[in-house]
Amino acid sequence: MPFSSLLFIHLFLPAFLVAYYASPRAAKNYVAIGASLVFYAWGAPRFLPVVVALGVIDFVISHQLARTRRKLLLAAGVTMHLSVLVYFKYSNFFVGELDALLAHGGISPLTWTPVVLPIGVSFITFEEISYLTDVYRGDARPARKLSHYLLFLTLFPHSIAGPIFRWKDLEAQLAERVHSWQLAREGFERFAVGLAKKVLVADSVALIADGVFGMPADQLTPGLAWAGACAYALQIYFDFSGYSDMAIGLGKMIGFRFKENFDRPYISASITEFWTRWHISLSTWLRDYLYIPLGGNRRGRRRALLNLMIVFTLSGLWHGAAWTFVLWGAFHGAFVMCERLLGKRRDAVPRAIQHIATLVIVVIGWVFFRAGTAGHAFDVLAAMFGRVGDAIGPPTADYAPHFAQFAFVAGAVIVLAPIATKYRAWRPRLPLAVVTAAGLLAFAGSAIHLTNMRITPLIYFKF
Amino acid sequence: MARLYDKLAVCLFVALAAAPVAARLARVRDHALNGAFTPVALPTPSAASVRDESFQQGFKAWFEATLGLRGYAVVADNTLLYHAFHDTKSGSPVRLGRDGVLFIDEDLNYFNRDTLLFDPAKLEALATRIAAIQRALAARHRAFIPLIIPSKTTVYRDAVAARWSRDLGEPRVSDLRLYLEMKRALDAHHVVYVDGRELLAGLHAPRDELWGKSARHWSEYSACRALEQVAARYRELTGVALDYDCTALTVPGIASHEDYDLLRLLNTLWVPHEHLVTTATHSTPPPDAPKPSVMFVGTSFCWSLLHDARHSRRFGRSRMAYYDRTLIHDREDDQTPIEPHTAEWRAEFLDIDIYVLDLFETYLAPGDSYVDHFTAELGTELGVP
Repeated sequence: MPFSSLLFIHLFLPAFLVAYYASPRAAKNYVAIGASLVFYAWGAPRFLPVVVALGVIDFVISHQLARTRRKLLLAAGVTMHLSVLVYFKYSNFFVGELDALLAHGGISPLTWTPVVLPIGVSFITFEEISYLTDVYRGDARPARKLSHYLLFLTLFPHSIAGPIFRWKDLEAQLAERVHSWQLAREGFERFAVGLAKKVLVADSVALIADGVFGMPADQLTPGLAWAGACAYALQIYFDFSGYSDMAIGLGKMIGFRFKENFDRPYISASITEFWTRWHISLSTWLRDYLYIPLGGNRRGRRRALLNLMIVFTLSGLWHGAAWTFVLWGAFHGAFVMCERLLGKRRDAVPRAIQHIATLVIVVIGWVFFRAGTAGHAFDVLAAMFGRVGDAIGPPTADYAPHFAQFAFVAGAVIVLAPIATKYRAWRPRLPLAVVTAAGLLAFAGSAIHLTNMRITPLIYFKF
Repeated sequence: MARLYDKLAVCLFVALAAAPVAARLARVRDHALNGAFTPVALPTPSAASVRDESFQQGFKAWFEATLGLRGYAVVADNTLLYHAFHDTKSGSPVRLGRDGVLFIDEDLNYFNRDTLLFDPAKLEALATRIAAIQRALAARHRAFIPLIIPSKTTVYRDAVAARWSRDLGEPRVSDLRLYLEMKRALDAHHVVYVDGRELLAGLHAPRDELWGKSARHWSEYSACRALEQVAARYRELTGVALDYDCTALTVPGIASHEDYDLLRLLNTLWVPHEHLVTTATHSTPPPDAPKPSVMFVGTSFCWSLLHDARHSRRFGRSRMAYYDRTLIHDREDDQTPIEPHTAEWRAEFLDIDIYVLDLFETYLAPGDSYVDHFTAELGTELGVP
């Protein structure tokens, strides 16, 4: 049940809010757990018992860890979660690759029933690992109540597509949080912004991206390929940041204050900066639970660069079990390494060039992310860099109706305009009434559009 | 004051979110939607249906189909898309051409094709079979008449907006490789047929008289003019005179039809809809005139042929085989699936005086179409290879 669905907006959300606010303070967490379990079961009923069982096991392990600090116990817990992730997310990929190898050797493929990927497994696994690790390190206390930990894992605003929470950030709020009309109003406004980003912009520019990436290579021209890649850059930003806005807004409605997951990433002047602004909860997770344990910057420059490459490549693989994601991660890793090597010498490059170069690199990276295969990605890239297909493409309106073109331009302005204020203290502030009115309009407009349109699934659901 | 503002804002948001369900529960009258909507039943949950998610999918479908105020939302969104962007919603089969002319995506795809769609050997085989059937039936004083029906993109070629057109040059592949190839094959086998495309081009009638606002279908007047030609070919093949005449008549159009929104954008406000349609009137047939039976086989274009044939009172039994697998009886809502070579099929499909085989331009793709199926089935019964 995506947030951008009629069922969620018109039934689940109002029904949940009424039940939540009508219940006494002591029961609010239980109402939230109940709603979260229903929400999760709606999309992945077969995986729900696994999530609950893992939560119970984590709860037990964490208390043992807090007492004994046994590394072996931590390793067992982390291995358990990684095994779940590998089985559900990567086994099909590994078996497929193995079959390809076997086929080269003339051996018949393995007998294998493909595993269905449960929604949110990548996010939940990372949260569980960070919980156990933090308790082991002494950075967090184990959950006092199982209900608190289960709510942390399954809380519906984040359970299926992040942001990736840390137990230590939410622990206090799970036990005690302030509910206020102001926070609820801000939550609705934020939710409306996210809904509009997803429904009005992301789903519209998706037509352009899908159209271009669906074209045979011989129909692509440089203009088309760049338009498709840029459309996808806009789609994935408005899709995922819109989802994060909705998650943060929903949290506020019930008294939670979640950390931001995006901070205008396309105003970055470097790839390193981009990763401090894009999917912040993932990049900080990878820094704290992978990069630093690998040695971080502490074991010399070469090792630090290698660690960076490992982290980015695994980050790619986390997004999806396909070589295209690995290439995307490695591509970003290579540029972050280059920036690390260049150091302060980058400052000599004019700022405008830094921005343009960063945008171009990010857009090129998205080609790997969007393409179905590595070969497809290289076909699109070849077109972006000059190869002109000898076949005539489909009519423009087939993949770029006027409303999609409008969304493309509006989206580009929205993501790039903040560059103008990035280096100044000035921040535009809108009157509260305008913000609320815009929120109401965005909410109503998105819901109306949603009623009439085909819904595009959230991109990050498949991760 | 600030708290009151926050409360009011939250209440407004919640009201917006809950409005559709509340409206449904309170049975608030919705804006009527034109269209063919299949009723969706509320599924009954069970452990198995929840586990395999079929209940969730069924509930979602039911919820979305029965959502309150849905009509207002659909009309508002369509209207905004049309007037602000000159678009129809994505996924809609209707496309907007120049001057508000509507097209259907299938016809535009046909117009924009750049490759040969069919195997020339299959076309040759089809033309050979049609010729043999026509000869076999003519020997029995009956007629088998192919009717080439043009697509709207052919008739309104200049209204296809540049953004819906691929720059394939002229003549287009769809003309050269489909229409002209089909004509060449039929001519080569001396098949007597009606070329609706040539007929309409030669009429010099106002275009809106020949075609309506519908994104796809011709007017009943055009169907009448085609039947006029069918009558002439019938005489040519059998020697039996069948006088058929058409007088254009403009009458108030049908505002709504369960299927029309797919083709006429009736769920969009302030769009020039069809208030007048051109149909045909006929003179009274002489009392002793022969009344041959007729069967129309093919696409939805056959509906207007059937209507006009019945309206003319020139025919005896008139039937339509929708894509050769659904038989339309005397009452048009009496439609039954029918399998070839069964006793019922033989009773309905054989012993017809005039077969009109609809060769709709967009679907001209010999190989595995209703045209191939029907000619093969009829050929078998007639002993034609």
